[in-house]
Formats: sequence, structure tokens, C-alpha cells
Amino acid sequence: MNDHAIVTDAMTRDFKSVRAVNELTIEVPRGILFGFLGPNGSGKTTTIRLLLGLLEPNQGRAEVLGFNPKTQADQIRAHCGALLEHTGLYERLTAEDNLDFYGRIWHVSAAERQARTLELLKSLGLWDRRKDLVGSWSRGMKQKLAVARALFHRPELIFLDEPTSGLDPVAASALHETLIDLAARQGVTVFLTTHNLAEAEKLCGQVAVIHQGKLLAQGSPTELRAKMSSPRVEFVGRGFTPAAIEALRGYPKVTDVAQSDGHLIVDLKEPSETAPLVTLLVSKGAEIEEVRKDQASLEDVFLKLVEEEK
Amino acid sequence: MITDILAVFWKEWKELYQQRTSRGGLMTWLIMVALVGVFIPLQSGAAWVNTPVLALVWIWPPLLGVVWIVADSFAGERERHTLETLLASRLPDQAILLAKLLIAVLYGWSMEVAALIAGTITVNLAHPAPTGLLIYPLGWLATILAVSLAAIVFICSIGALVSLRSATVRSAYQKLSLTMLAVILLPNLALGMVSPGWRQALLGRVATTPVETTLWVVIAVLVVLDVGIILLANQRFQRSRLILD
Repeated sequence: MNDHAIVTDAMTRDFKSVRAVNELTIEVPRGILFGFLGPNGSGKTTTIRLLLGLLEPNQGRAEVLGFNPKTQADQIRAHCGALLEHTGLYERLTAEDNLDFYGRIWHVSAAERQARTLELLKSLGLWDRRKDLVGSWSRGMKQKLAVARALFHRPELIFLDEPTSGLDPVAASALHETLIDLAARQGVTVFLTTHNLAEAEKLCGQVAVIHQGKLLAQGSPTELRAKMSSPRVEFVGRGFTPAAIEALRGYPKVTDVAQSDGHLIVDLKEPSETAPLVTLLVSKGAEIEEVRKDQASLEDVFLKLVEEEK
Repeated sequence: MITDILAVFWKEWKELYQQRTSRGGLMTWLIMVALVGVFIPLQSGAAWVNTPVLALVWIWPPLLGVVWIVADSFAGERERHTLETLLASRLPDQAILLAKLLIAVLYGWSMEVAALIAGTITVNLAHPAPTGLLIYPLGWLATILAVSLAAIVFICSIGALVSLRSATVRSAYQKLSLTMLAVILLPNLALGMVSPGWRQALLGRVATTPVETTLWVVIAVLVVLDVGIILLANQRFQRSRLILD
């Protein structure tokens, strides 16, 4: 249990006749970036609320940092930071005051609050605007400030609901670096929900895919890709004669061959070396310019899982 | 707990200061103090100090002044989408509730105290007495301060209860205004429902009792109601309910 920041066991939450979270069982190891993926309305926000003890499950149980959200929600919230669906910033306060307020909530000393404000606002490029009322800021700037607020008291576990939404690519990239650093160097666990599957693929050590409150899959992006899709090789060149294609189809590890516009796409049963295939094609008169080993992206896996569930 | 209350209080004060020109802000506070502490005493002259019932009658502006503040306390946070983040923090329920009550009560009561001080200064400057400084009788001063405090706490605790369950500030304000109207009309309605004999006896008793004694009975009743409503608000403060509302 202690190796995991979050453990849920058949956690279920209903809202009248709607089952928002359906027997969710996940394990989130400590010190990783964990991606929680799902379409809109799939139960991601409800799950975060359940884990923070803001809602109670109807069935099942959970443990967050060793605490039970039902009976020890205060301890959980004391050790966590959160950026929820909305930024939750006070628009009538300055950026500095917003951070200072949350520092006071977490009993951060005045000197540490000042130092942390400087560090976070500088790293996110907001220092020059620290005296502005947040209400006058752009959406992206508010999002950055909300992330800074979630990190301010150096929590052990951070819940981030769509943290890069509204951020420009430069800011998003800077945030990615911060999150990677938090997990890798400081051992912070980051529970991240996102629609940006490329982001999840790049950042997350593990992901879980949820649809209509139900867990569809959990594992590392590589594991999920391997589990959900067959490896594929694409040949670019000339001279892909019917004889060459027939020879490929007869090869034991090949499941399918398709040709289009100078490209030959070969589906394999399992990942294997491509050199024998190249030799075979060349022996049948083909001229090969490029070989691409292709694998389904996390997005393909996600779409396939959701489609299967439908 | 005290540190937590102070943290929320600090934020509430900062927000109040920033919205100084809007409704419920510092400008409202100054206007009310100018009305009750300068304009009315100027009109009343020395009677403002010598006949303290006058100052007692004018405790209503601070009561009105807190309505917008307290209506905004929870409904405003919900409307501006800051409530969930606040509830996801480590703050205890009681700290959030008490800090929001405290800022509203201090806003209203400081208005009353400032108006009384300003009233004394105004009267002494505009209508100086040959006998010396005009000041409120001490017993009456204590009574006025106690009545206004108990009444402001009453309005604030009802307001917090209403604001906890309202989706928007406007809705909380409307509900609270109606509740205040009901509270004002209720004694009259109740009096109309008792038998004429009882009514006469009751009014006779009030007429023969010294005003200060009657007021301290009112204060005692308000304190009991204040405690009861604050306890009720504390019971209604459930994070899950606040989020789902």
C-alpha cells in the first residue's frame, strides 16, 4: 500500500440514476506522473473529488497517501495540491495575494511565502505582472498562476485537471518540464487529467483510460500500445510486384499486407526485425528507399478502447 | 484554528478593500458612516447625544450594509468558481465559516462604532454646549453597541445560512432581503394573532418596563438566536453538499 500514492478498490459514485464512477480500481505508484484519460463526462472530475474527500463514494474504498478519504479527508487535503476544473483564482486580488493566501492556508512562513512567490512567478514568466489584479489577465496567465498555486506549498500529491488547457506551446512546454522535474527529482506524485493524449504520452509513466465511469485500461503508454495494437512496418519505394506481395503474405510473422501509392504497409503478429522482410522484397525485385517502423499512438489506443466500450 | 480563521479573514479583507467602489465595499461603509455619523447628528443637534433612542433607531443602516457582504460570502465564491478550490484546501470547515461571519460582523459593527464616534464629534463641533463636552450616557452607549452587535450577528448568521444554499449572490441577496422582511413583520403578525386581552397585557408590561431593560431582554433573545443559527450553519456546512449545490 505504501508504495502507492493512490489505491482505489471498486470505488463507485452515483448521482441519482447516473453512475458517474463505476467500480473504479486503480493503483497509482508514488513519484510518477499518472495520466487519467477519458472523454468529457467520463467521471474524471468526480474521481478527483472522491479522492480529495470532497464527495463520498456509494460503494468501494480508496486510500490516498495512506489516508481514507471518507474518514481522513482533512489529512489528505493537507498533503495535496489541486488545480480543479476552474482555476479558482480570486480575480479581485493580485497574483501575489492569491499565492500569499494559499501560503497562509498551508501555514507557510512569511519569508518562505515571499521566496516561493518569487521563484514560481519568475519561472512561469508572471513576475512582472505580480501586482496586477488577476481579473485583468488572459486565460493562459490565469492557468499558469493556478498551477503555481497548486505547487506553492510543495505537496506530496498534486491533482491537475487539464493543466495545460489555454496555455501557449511555450508555456505548456515549460509546465511539462516543471512536472517532470517534480516527479523525477522531488518524488512528487502528479495525478493529471488531460484530453491532450500527446501530452500524456510524453509525460506520464502510467495512464488509466476511463469511459462512463469505468476503467478500460491501465498501464504505461508503451504497454497499452503494445497490448492494443499490432506492430506495423511501412516500406517506401518502387517495384512492389504482386509476386513480392505474395511472398510477404507467405512470411510467418506477417498478418496483412496493403499497398497504396508507392507505400507497402505490413502488419505483423508481434514486434520483429525488419531486415528479413527487406531481403525478401529486394530478392523479388523491389527497390526500397525507406523503412518506417510504426506503432499505434496513445491516441489510437484511446480511441480504440472507447470505441470498443461503445 | 485561529491561524486558519485569520488566513481567510485576510483574504476577505483584501477583497473588500479591492472592491472599495462597488456595493458592499469600503465606499458603502463610508457613505453609511457619513449618513449616520454626520448628516443625521447635524440635523438632530444636541438631542443626538442627549436622547440616545435617536442613535438606537439609526442602527438600521449598518444592518443593511452587511446584507450584501454576507450574501456574497459563499454564493459569491460559488458564482466566481473559487469555492471548490477553497474546499479542496486544508482549511477546516469552521475556519471558513467563522472567518466569513467575522468579516461581515466587523464590517457592520465597525460602521456602527465609527458612526457613534463621528456623531459625537459632529454634535460637539456643530452644536457645542456651554456646559462642556456632549457625550452619550455610558449605560446607553453600552446598550446601543450591544443591540447593534447582536442584531448584526443575527443578520450575518442568517445571511451565511442563506448564502450557503444559494447559487448566485443576487439570489442570496433576494432571499436574505425577504428573510429580513419576514423577521421585521413577524412580531407584528404574532401580536395580531394573540387574544386582545393578552396583547394589551403584553404591551402594558413593555410600556411600564424601563426601555433599557426591554432592550437587554431583546439582546438576550438575539444572542440565543445567534448561537442557534451559527450552530445550524455549521451543521449545514458540508463540503459535498456545497460542491453539488
